Amino acid sequence: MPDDGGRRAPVVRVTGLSKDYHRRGVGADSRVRAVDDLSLTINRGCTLGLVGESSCGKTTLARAMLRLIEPTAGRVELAISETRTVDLTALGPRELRHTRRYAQMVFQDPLGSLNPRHTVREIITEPLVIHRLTSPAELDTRARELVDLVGLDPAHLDHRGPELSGGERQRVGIVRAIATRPQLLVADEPVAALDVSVQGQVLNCLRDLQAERSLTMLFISHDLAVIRQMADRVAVMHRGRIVETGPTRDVFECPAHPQTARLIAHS
Amino acid sequence: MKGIPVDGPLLEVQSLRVSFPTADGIQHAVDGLSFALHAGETLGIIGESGCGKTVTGQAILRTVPPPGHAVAHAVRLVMDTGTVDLMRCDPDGDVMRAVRGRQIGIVFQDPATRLTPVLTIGAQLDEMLRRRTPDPAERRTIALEILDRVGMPASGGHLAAYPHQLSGGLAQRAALAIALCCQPQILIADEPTTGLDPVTRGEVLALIATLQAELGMAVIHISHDLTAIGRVSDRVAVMYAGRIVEVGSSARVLGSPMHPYTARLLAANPPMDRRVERFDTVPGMVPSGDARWDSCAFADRCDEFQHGVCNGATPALVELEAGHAVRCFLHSSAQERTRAG
Repeated sequence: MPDDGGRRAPVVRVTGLSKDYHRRGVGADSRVRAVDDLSLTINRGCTLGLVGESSCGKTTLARAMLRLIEPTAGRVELAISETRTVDLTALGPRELRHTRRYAQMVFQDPLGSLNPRHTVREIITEPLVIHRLTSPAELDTRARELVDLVGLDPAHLDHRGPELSGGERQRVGIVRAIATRPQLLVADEPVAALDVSVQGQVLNCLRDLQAERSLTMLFISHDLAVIRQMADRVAVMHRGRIVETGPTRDVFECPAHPQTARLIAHS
Repeated sequence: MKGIPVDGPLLEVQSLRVSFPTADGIQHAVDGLSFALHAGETLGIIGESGCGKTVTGQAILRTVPPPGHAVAHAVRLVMDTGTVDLMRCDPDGDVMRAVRGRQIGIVFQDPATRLTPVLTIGAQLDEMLRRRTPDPAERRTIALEILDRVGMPASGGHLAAYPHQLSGGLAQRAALAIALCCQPQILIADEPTTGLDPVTRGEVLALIATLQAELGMAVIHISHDLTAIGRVSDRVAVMYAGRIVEVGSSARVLGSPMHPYTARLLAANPPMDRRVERFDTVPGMVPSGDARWDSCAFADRCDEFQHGVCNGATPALVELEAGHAVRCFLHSSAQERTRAG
């Protein structure tokens, strides 16, 4: 996935995105601007790595981008096909639901984000059923293909989240996210809870999927070594804003902003 | 096995076994673990999830969740009052209550959920400090002092804060304050920096080191973060399938590992300075069943597996050079093979 200087078409373009939180009980107007007039673009097949200290707004950005929470201001244009682009922030509830399949998310805590009472089969086929992408007769075949794609044993299809290891759970989380063939995958700390031995499986799996499907990714991590491996470009976030962005190698080798240098020095 | 130094270890764990009944029979999460911890030192324990790291800490504190069951030849702890074998104590008795918090402090990964959500940091500190003094005013003074020591000054009003009001880094500092307010001799830090950003991780590691030097305590630092372990540990023990497979000085174990498993774990740690084509992974998983008795537990996943050498028996932990021991047939002669494990 070479960095091609923006010649490839953008899959997602965020413009002026802001998200305010209201802190209760501390004075009359205690707005906290978690994401502050932020803009970014990610081109097809590329990975943007998003780094920053805890509570700098990384997760809020990811969620507001996908409208898992409502942004306060800004636009999020998503190319849902080669020819069609929609502004996620302008969609009504019904359209938004239909559009969800094009932008999916992988969460940090694979156990907390998988329903413990559902089998792997139910978890990964649910999005296919909801978005009517697969006929009931084909579901089983599709489920087997999907688990195979991330290197899981088909025997795991009948297991539940708590019975799986961390790496297996996270691969289930990834399979669930890519089942609907999204254009954009937002991965929020996908390997933070995993062992190094397993981390590689998940990262290799994401890289393979990206190569096969020219998946576009926003990859959030506070592990700079992982970002170095996964991201074509990197954006450094500080207090709700992007303070530095550029090709990963350049940013790592010659950090321009003190916050970037600080993060690198501590890694 | 190493000889016991003149001053002797602070904590000595001998042949610890922790078993859990499962649908597939009894599983040993920890299977014959022995180690010693000396005053002031940091022992790093690394290994994958499910290798028994956390359960080891729980077994020492006698808090293995039922139906788990811990047995050991001995878990000797040197206390002010003399040496106590923790395995012979009632888990709910006075001795263990005095040990937890007072002798051995513990911090966990994810303090935001480990701290009691319905009590303020002040109330939780106060509860712990009752072990130290019956005087509420004195407890408050100590509480403010310890919070200040962990970088939460009184001006911040942290005594009145609830855990959910703190950021991840602050919550871990508060957890450290609670763990250390009774000045324990030993701190068990179970993944204390997992989930923290690099800056906060660096700060928490530095804080533990500072407090360790001030209080002269020994630390058992359990983590799968090899970078963190390398930074803080004097000695490192690598656990696999409930056993130590390699133990030695931090520099030896992480710098020139001898067990293939240690080498694979280190290789799987992605580099910061260049991009790799393919991530090294350790194929397969920590065996979920009971440890096998007919071969090395790592045999299924080992690149260097040699038929006829690595199977037929289980390898013993053999000291190859002073203080550096490895449980691997490739590094031990035939005479040292044993079925006893």
